[in-house]
Amino acid sequence: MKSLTRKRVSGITGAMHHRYCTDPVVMDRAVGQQDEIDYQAAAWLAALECGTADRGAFEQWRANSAAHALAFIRAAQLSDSLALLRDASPEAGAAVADSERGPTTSRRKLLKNGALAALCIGAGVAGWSLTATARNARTEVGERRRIVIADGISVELNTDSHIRWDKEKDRYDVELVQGELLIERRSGSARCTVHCADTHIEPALARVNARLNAGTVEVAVLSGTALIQGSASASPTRIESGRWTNNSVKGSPRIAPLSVEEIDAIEAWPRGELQFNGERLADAVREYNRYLARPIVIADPAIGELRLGGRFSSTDPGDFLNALNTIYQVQAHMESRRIRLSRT
Amino acid sequence: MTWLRPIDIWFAQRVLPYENLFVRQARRWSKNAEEATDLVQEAYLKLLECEDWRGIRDPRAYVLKTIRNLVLQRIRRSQVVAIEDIPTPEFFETRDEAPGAFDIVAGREALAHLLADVEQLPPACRRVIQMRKIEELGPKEIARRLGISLSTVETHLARGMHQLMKMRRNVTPAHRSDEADRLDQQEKNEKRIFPLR
Repeated sequence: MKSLTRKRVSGITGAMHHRYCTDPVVMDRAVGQQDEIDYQAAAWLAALECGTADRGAFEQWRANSAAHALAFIRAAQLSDSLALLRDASPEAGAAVADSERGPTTSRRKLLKNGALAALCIGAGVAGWSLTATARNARTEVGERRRIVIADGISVELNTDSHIRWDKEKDRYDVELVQGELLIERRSGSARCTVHCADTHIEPALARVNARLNAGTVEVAVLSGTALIQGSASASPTRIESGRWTNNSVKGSPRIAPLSVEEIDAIEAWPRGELQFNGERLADAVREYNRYLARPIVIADPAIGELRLGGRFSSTDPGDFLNALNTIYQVQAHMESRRIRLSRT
Repeated sequence: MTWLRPIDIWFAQRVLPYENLFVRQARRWSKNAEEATDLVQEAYLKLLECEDWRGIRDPRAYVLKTIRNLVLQRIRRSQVVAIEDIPTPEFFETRDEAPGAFDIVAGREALAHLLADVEQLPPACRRVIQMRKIEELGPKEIARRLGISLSTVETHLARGMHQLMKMRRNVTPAHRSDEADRLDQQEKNEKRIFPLR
């Protein structure tokens, strides 16, 4: 397809003046050009959202000129601002409450969960609690969502995850109940704290990834700095960009540097990709299974010790299974409830 | 859902939040509201083309410096230079990272403007924008509910976003003098200023 979108986008020029430049005022040439670039940016964003865009053609368009890149940044920002109207517009809210169904995206279900979750989480930092008004967002296995919490604060929610958030005066509290999130806080935004289990994270202008992994909290500060507090009694630690703290429920937190490869691997998930850098196959499969409704099962334990690297689609393991077959002659047996890996 | 590159994220985080400041400063130097918007755009493009963007420690100061150089260039090119046209290395404001009372009010106003803009969209287009961007439904779900094709959803999205971008451009800070005046006043009250070298 893909060339379709490109054709459409580059073919806009002629039709545009018909459709949009009805203003009797003669448009300045520069303004006309800018308008056209804006339309292309809007068209690319729409195509990406609808899954019809050819990524290669899009990247080419964006790399082609800084004006294209800038227009696309503005379109993405406008998109984020519109999400903020959710709180500002009662009409929009009503429409949401009326809407039914759609197992993964139903806001009504989410609102109901929010009401049910009318409990106070008293632990941790003083003054931190979520009330009945707290909002909820969830993702199913294999799903990702972007949630704009407030102006300049956005959260990417990974597969099979759940967050709650609330506003207290000028501060936002976000609780990671389950799964993984990547929070980004921009200049001029309100203060916010991410709570996961006993760990409290306050990002300065930063991108921070947080994951609840079998009772362990894993925090990666990808850029900027964050204050991280391991428990209510502990004093906060300032973590610079590229540092990693591993905060066990029992035992003291560990802080270690974060390599470029590790940052790349974390940054891969919001793009719908999984990146492996020589992990054991057993670990790679465990990671993959977070995203798959039909899990991969290793039938022969020896296979689990193989090591592999590469970048794969997180929702479609086809390339991953092919690679295993080509490199290690591992067979994937597609069964109804699982994908079984064996040497025969 | 994230289609921005590292440079785009950096730009959106570290540069765009200061847009009002850039436009105001550009207007002071060039004494022309329209030209001010052009200058800021030109400085943005230079920054986005900069390969060593990671090395820029203070992007805000960098953009201001670029704008000033562009003004100087234009003045030199025009050849008729009056002394008062030469931009003095004026004082730059610094701003707290946390939003002040003004920003919160301005943020609310901006949202009200945005809502008004959305309401001006053609009905079908507005419905899709509302479902996709505000209610955050998936494109396929929107197509199903409205009984239209996915490609129609895509077209409405593209047109709607384009119209909104266009409306936004017409409300650049340069044209909103009341806001600028208030900010100028606020600036006078601010103590922490530093000169541009």
